[in-house]
Amino acid sequence: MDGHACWIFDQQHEFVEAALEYLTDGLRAEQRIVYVGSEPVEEQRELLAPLGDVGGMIDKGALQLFELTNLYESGKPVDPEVRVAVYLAATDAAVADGYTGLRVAAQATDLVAGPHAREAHLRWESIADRYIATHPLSAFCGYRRGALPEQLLCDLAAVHPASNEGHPAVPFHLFSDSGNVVLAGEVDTFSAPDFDRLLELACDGGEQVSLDLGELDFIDHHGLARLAAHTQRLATHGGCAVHNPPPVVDRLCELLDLKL
Amino acid sequence: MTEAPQQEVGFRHEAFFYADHDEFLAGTVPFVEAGIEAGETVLIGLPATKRGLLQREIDPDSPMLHFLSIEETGRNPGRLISTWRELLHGQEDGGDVRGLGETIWPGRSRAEIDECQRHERLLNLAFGTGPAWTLMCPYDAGALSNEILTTAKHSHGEISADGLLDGALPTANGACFGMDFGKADLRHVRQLVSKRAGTAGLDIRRTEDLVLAACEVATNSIQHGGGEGTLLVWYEDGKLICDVRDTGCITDPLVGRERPSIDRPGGRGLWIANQLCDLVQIRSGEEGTQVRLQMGVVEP
Repeated sequence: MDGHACWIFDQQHEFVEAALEYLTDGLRAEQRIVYVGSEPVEEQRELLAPLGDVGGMIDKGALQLFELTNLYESGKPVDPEVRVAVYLAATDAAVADGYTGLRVAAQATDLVAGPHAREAHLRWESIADRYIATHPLSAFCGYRRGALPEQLLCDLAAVHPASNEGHPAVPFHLFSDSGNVVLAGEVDTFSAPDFDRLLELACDGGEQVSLDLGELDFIDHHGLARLAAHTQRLATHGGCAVHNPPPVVDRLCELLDLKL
Repeated sequence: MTEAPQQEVGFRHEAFFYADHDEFLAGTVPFVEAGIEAGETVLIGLPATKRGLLQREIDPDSPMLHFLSIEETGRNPGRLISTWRELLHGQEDGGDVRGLGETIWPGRSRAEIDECQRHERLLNLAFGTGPAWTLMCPYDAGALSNEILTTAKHSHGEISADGLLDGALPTANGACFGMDFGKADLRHVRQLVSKRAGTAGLDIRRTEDLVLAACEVATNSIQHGGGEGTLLVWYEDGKLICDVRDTGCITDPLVGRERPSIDRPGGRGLWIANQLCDLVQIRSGEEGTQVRLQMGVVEP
């Protein structure tokens, strides 16, 4: 998986195994690889031993290890813009040091443990997505199932362009790609409220929004009414352009006299 | 021969029976010409052959004439009330209007005829209390069955809408694919319909339309029909049919036939289904609701 992926897991070793695979791909692509976990760094070195000479890689700067609690103050809302600045600086540094980019595997469960942190974190994922789409930065975000409410897991999976299949079953994804906000998958009456909430999160910048519907497989009239309400609202702010609407969208708009 | 309602109502709904082309013209031409002379807008919904006959006898370029493609729009008669209403509202000057609507033409299926007959009675309910206009419904007495003609004689003046959602639909005549569904299963509802449509040979557009219609109807079952429902899908006589049943009870016989207003939520699902499908049949009572959607494998 490239870009920005969400990985929901039950056991710690499942995340580590997936992260090892993800980071190995980064080594092959000559990216600087970063592991962020809740374990102390010493423990991380052992977990990542299958990568090869971990000590040598760390000395060379090819691998960086961080303990989550040292990186952020857990459970507190973190200003997404500040975080983005940190990651972009790290990406620039990796490129300046001769790497093709930065590849991060982060076990981020503890960041969203507090209820106040949730909305800020979802916003962060959404904003991070915009930068990842346009910078040599990829991120693999792990969240432990038992520690977080199911609804939050669904939201987290939905704001990533990709998530591990079926866990949880996410009907749609809402993410950034090449400056567009992309809506992929299916939106019906019962996913429409989540869609509504996450779309607001994804398009809150006050800038011109370019919405790509090319990967939307299905939307019913409840979902479309919510989408139309957003595009109308955005049109009066920074502006909103809708691209690649599937035929079902055009048909419903015509039938219900809705404008996107 | 004209059967007109006896009571004084704003809406005059007349059945007109003709035995052949001459009788057809003898009835329709004076009706249209009288409208033009009186400065009325004349809305004409006739099958193509009848329309051709009429157009040779009148000035087809008269600005007072508006033609509607009845074989397309009226293929599903559930679309016609909102179509007539929009044409009526389209008369900005508020002038008088008359219409010519032939919905039961020879060759229609039993299910279509049944829906057309219900539609004729629903017209009285939909327009009975509104502004005055006259709708003449020609019936080809030379080609249609006595049962159809007898029903038409009665349906035009009838104001009562009792029993318009009553009755049972015939059971499936083909191998059925089915599932029970709840809130979490709409995706599977869509997949089942899509798969059967693909197997039956519907093109992408007709498949998408049927999938959307079935999903909207199933959503109604979940939201208004007891939280769950049952879907049956089968192929019969060149058509793919989707039956959605639930335990809800619909009381408004005009459900799904009037364009939903923007400011009032709800009531859109069945209206959308009517616009997308070749035929929609709704039966409802205390024992539950059944909505049957029909989509021809090829566009009729």
